[in-house]
Amino acid sequence: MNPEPTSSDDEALVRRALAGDVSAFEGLVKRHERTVFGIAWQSTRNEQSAEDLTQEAFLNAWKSLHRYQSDLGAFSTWLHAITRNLCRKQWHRQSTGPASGIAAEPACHHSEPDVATSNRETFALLDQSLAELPDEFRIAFIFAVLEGLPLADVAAMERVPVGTIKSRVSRARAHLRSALNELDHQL
Amino acid sequence: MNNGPEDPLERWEKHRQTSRPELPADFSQRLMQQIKPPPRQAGAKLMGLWLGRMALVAGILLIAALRVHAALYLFLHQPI
Repeated sequence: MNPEPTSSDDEALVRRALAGDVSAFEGLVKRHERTVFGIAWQSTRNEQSAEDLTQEAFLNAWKSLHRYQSDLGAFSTWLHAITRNLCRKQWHRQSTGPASGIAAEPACHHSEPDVATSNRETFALLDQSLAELPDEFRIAFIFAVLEGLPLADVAAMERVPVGTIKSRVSRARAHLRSALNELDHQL
Repeated sequence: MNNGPEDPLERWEKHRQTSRPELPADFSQRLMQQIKPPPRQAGAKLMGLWLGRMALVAGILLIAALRVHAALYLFLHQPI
């Protein structure tokens, strides 16, 4: 639906928005809302929380748009960093707060009840294992694997080399696999 | 752990990637209702704040000057 955001188009919209053109900022929202919401949903696993977080990310971006420096990176990288910070805050709130905000979510719909139950258990275990990962691994996995952002973009956002993101993703996968192995041994 | 298409980890990743909901269609519209002043007004607000402070300082100085003036007037015009 939305055109693929390009960096130069974003820059032009940012310049117009900074000059007071609110509709230009709306253009930026429309170009990036799907990705920001995707990241938020993968982080919170709750539709309402993800929508709130997406809204907060864009409001923060609007308020601090004058601080965005195009020579330091693309607008999308800057916006994703804002989203990442909000996700982190949310995780820490959840870990210190009462109950986890992870929504009970229907697993794969499958014709055989046993397989569906097994999937549900496995998926719940993997969701839990992902939530237990240290922030940097969790972020790399969510942004690069679950949301499918290019490794270079995630690296730019995290201000680390691409190799570091690859290594974080691979270590996150290793952690998830070990959780699966433990489940296999229990069964 | 098998690594084929039946790999549970791959299945879970695929599930997470494909099961995500979509934002409501009117999301950007609702968001934009909350966005009123353009960022350049932040500068205007700051300038207003400085002008306010300067007016306050000028007012204090004026009152001080008037009091000094009144004191001098009374001193110079007091009966010898």
